[in-house]
Amino acid sequence: MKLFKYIYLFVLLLLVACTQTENCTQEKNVLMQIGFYKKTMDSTTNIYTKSALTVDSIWVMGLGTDSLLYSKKTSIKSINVPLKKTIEQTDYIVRFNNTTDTISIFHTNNDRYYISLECGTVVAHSIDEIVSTGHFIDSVSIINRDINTTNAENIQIYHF
Amino acid sequence: MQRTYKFIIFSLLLLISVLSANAQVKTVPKDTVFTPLYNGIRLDVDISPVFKTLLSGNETFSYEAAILVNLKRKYFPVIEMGYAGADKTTENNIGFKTNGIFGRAGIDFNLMKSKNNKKNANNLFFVGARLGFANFKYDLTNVVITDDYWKENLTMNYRDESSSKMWFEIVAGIRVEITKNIFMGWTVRNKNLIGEDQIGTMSPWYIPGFGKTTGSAWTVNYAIGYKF
Repeated sequence: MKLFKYIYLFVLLLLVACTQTENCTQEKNVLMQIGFYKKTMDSTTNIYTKSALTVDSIWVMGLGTDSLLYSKKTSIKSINVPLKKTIEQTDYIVRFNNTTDTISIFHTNNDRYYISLECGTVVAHSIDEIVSTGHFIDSVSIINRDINTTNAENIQIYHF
Repeated sequence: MQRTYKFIIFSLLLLISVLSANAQVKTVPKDTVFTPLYNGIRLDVDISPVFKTLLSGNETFSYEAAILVNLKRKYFPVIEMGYAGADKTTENNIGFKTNGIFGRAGIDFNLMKSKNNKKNANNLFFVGARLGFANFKYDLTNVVITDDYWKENLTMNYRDESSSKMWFEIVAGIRVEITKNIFMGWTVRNKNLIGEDQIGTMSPWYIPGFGKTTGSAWTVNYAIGYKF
């Protein structure tokens, strides 16, 4: 009779272990975050200082598409844009107020970035090089080469 | 990782306490029956797959058997071998498939005092520890990656991904001699993976011998044993 008690206990434990959800609830968006900054030179010390720049109006479009990522969005300090997943170069046309620049990102794609069985995998990127025109943009620096599902600033655009 | 260490330390303390408990027993005057060092070997076959397939369908399976050496009716060094796998499709139609052989090695300590009363003399209540290992391959298939902006569509199939996993177990259980030389009973296991996969790297959903991949898991085996 003792035996039945043990079997009962065993089945109970099994039932407890068998409840799980199967929906993807984790972050799957992979976006490159670009922050805007301005450099100002202190006239007495001749040292450059960096500060966040709020752009009055921004318009962003990926080269090769006809849809906009940002359409005259006002008062913005940073933008989040998706990179191409099958090609390792992504170009954007960015209009700061009324000045237009083109930014080209050369990157390596990693199509094995695993999230979970429920969510699958995503394509993560690693930035190799950035080239841009210099109408509004003074310079570009890479802060964090790895672009994945974590929310982090990847590149900084400087404007004088 | 921290959790794993905690468990290892905890179980080591447990083992030490068991050992010291046994050491105390030895100081008792020698009016008890003399027990030889070698008391035969026992083969345990896990019959829990019968229950588990009834309860959880055919998503996962695991078969295993163990060989234990009875030393002084107290120490039971054990080797466990098994074959396990999983075949699962999620709501998003992502498929996961694996199967492989696993092994565990460890020791059990019998906490039941051997009585002169012969009827219960061979029954066991034990605690123990295991180190488990599995080297296996798995497939992750039909992973759809879409990009609404760049209008890209990818269907990824990752096949023959190889993986090696190690884990630590703390076990407890009973074995009752139901008729001569035939034992039945259960074993409860707390399993803790050693090492964690880095965020973003490929990771198996199921590990043969461990179960679904989480840092810590509880499982139960139900065994029928034969003593040679």
